[in-house]
Amino acid sequence: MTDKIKSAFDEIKAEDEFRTSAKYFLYEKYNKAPEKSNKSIRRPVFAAVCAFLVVLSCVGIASYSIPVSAISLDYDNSCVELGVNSFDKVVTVTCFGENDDIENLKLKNKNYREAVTLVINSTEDTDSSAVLSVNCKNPEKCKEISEQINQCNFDNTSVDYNSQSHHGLSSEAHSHGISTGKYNAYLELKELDPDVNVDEIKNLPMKEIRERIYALSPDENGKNDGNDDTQDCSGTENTSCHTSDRQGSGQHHGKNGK
Amino acid sequence: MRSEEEAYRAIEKYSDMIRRICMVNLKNYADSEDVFQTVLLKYILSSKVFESEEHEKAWFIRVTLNACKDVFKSFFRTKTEPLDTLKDYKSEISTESTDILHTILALPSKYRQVIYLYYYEGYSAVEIAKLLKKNVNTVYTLLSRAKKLLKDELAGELYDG
Repeated sequence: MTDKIKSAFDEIKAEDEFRTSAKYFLYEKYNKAPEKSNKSIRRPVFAAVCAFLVVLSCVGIASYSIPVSAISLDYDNSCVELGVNSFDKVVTVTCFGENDDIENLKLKNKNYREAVTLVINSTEDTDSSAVLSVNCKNPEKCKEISEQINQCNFDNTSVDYNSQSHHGLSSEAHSHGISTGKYNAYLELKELDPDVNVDEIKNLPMKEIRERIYALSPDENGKNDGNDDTQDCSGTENTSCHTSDRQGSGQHHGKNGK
Repeated sequence: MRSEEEAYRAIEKYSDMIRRICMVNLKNYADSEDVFQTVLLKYILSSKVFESEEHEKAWFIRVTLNACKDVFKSFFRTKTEPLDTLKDYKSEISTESTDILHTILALPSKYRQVIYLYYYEGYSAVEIAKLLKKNVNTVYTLLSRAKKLLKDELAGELYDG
């Protein structure tokens, strides 16, 4: 049996074609010049460039969408807080209380001056006044925003200003369900009256909180002239920077309206 | 990389053996060519130092068997081609040999491999077990079953007298 199988397989030989194709394959391997390929350099560079562009886009999107300043507009019954990015555009709008009309204003991606003007001019109750608070880590930016808003023309409502630079308090304020401006006012009041708690002032109008602060503060009673800007910026990150516009004797809120 | 002379020497020495192994394991000529080129490429790029000619031959058999297995694993290969690979063979074969080869090639591949390695290449069951990475007892079983199948199919042709 072995011999028969052997002789059967012996007749199977590699055809000439088989050998020729193998020899040609070898010839190509040994004699063809390797293609100069820049692939080995191009791919990592291309990947690095793509990665860099992706990171840049993410940073760009992040820097656009992350607010660095907060402008709070507190009315008697409600509050609107605008988150402003480093390009001076409104990127977040947070409402507290009754603010059904604010959504119709489409404030996002507008310059903060335009947004603040729209919000204030949309108020129907012309007898009320809004308390505006600016919160920003950078005292100079804080001041710049306040000055810019100061130059805005509002139709009806009077606006009080109070700018502060405790930017990190936004999340704390929102966790209590109040605006940053109101929360800063609460902290100011708490320094003067340690017994006060956040639930007490939650539903108080901002004007009333400011009046209580004024009443308790020993330095405020009639000592300042109407048009003084009182600034106290010590330059450290957590220092409050107050800018108050005062007009007339005995009054502690300024008016900016037609 | 091995020299061109070594590569040509390998073609002359092993092309017949590789052709036979491809015939036993594959279904068409084109696949056999691909396998041969794959085996040659592996040989050229391999830096393995062979202890003897037998060692080198065993290496070629092992690599060829693996390359044939890879052909079957390939997703794009059709799996319904007829098993008549002798039609692809381009040289003359005697009628008696044709019958024997047809019968062997009709067996399942596990039997074909052991028959080729045992009866033609002359490897022992132990050596076949090492080449195919199977248990020795499995090889003995395969050989005994393959013999029985061949005896049943080719009773008059394989046995003298």
